[in-house]
Amino acid sequence: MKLLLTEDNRDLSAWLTRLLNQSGYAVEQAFSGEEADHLLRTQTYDAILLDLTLPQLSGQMLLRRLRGQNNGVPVLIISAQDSLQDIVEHLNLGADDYLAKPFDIQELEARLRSLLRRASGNANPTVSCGNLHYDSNSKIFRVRDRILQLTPREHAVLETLLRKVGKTVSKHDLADSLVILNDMVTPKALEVYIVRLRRKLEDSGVAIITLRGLGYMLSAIEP
Amino acid sequence: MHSLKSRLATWVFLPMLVCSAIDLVVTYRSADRVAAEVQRQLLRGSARIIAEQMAADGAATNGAPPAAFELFADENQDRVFYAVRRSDGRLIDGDAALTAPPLLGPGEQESYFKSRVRGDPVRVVAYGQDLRDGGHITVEVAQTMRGHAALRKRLFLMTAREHLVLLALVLIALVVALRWTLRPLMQFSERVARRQPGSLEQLDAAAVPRELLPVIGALNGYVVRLDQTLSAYERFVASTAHHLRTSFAILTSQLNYGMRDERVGPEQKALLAAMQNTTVQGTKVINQLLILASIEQGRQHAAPEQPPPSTVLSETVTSVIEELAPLAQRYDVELGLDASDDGLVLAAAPHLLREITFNLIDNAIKHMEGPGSVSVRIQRAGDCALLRIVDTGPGIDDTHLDRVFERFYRANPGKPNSFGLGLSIVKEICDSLNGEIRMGAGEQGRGLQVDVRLPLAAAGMTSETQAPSRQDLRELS
Repeated sequence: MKLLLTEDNRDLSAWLTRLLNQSGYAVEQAFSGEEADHLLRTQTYDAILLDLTLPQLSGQMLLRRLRGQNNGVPVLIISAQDSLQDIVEHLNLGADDYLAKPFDIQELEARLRSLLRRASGNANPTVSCGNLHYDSNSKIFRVRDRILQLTPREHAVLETLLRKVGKTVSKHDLADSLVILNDMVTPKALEVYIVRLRRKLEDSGVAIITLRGLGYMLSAIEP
Repeated sequence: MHSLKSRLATWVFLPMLVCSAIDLVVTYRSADRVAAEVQRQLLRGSARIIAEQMAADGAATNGAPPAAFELFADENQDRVFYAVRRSDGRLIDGDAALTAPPLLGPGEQESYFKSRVRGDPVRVVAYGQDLRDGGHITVEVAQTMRGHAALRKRLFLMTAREHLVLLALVLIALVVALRWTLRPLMQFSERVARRQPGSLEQLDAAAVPRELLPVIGALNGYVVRLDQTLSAYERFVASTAHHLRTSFAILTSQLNYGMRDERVGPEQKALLAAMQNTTVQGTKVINQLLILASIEQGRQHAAPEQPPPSTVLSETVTSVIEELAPLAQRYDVELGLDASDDGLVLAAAPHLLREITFNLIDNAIKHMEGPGSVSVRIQRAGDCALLRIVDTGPGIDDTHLDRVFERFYRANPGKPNSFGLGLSIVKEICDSLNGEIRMGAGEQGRGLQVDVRLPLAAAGMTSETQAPSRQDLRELS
């Protein structure tokens, strides 16, 4: 994977490059908008990490030019300007994601992976949350490498929760997800499935959190 | 401090008072002159009657004829004296108490002077008369001054009264004129007073008197300079934030690198992890300070031409609850939304509402001692939306209750990773949104209850114009 890192701060650029190299990315550095523009004319990259405040040609201008040339290369903005307005503006301009400085390398790599996966077209069939992974082709849940044994109803509940990871799913919607199994589910029964799922997910780094009044939410938790 | 009105009034009234005083003096003197003239006419008439009688009778006289004294009305109990003297000064008739007159000049027939008779001031006429025998007599008639004084008083009062009435009329007219003239100035100051605090709008110079134009010009010039200063301040804040965040980004990268390096031992890694934690806290403070700065800037730049933002409160609150769910899980705190009115729209930027909600719920969770619950309610309260956050934690001591909203105030200074900015941010956002925040013990005196009241957006505004919330952004990414 070849990345273009456009960052005018040479220290930051150097350290990010070292980190990304460590993770197996090939990184080319550009320290100004002009330089990046020049590189983009002659090279192709799998993704661009773009700082906004660049000398000469600003990140915004570069992005606009890039999209004007119908260049669809994934762009992840890394910026020290963090206001909601900025974020909205840049996503509208055609950036694919936005990360505010300072950021943790793990967060950066997670965003990069998801960007690259989306760009590759054949969307990865695996959905993950923490150590919990779901392969939608084989319909198998795994915690780390261990296969999770689930009943069809538990499976349906967990799949619904995982597809909306980080957001609450109301009890009503969860019950609806079981309708395909030709089953009317009472709230009481739903609670039973949740309790069972929780037991099976112990030590997985993933929890089903109850939010009173809202519903259930799947979330990665720190050990 | 002085009032333009009273200053103007003083400078019109004072000269008017001086003029009135002078006018009174002049009036008095002219009354005196008129009264003296009247008295002189009477004295002269009387003297003439006596003199003609004398001339007709010759020097041998039967005394002054009564007609000579009927001229004098005696309502003032004035006394009248007379004396007739030959040219050699011998008294022929009358009262010797009357002093001899100064000699009349050749051809002069009469003269007037003042004198005293037995202590009383009198006015005297000396009237010369030739006799048939070739002799010459001088007739003196004198009258005490009471009648004169009374007439003078009457004349003076009559004129003075008229002048005073006139003066009063002028004063009334002046007050009315002052009010009327100064009204544009008053209206102008009201207009200035009505401006939003922090408004950088230019004042409209139309429909004000010409005299106010320099004031408006000066004010508008000041606004422009203020705007420049604030912009410079904004740029300063923005560039400071940029530099700090970049430095922290480098530091984070370096720490990340160290953490991944296999040659680094576990003890060093623990140290690096602690440093990383410090960096996270530092970042948090920078972000909080930036939010404080942006609240103040937002207050100054309440741009009137832009439509105000509108945000559905329940959406923001729900996304914050979801964001904080893992934290609550870690603290063994049950988090819930007990009541939610989804129709409440506020005229506030979503990130400010998020900041309020996030800080309050985050605080409630982190101050819990052991397992407990945090309940959030959103309901309508008149023209306001009420956001109520109740926890079952230890609550806050009354002694801290007044001060928790101060910047950098910490109720529990021993607690790590807290700078005492969260609640002051909440308070300042509430203020900037014309809302209010109250904090107190929960039901039955247990735990902590925080009530935030924020005015609802004006009716007719929908959530269509709403800026995307963080939740939407997450879906985009």
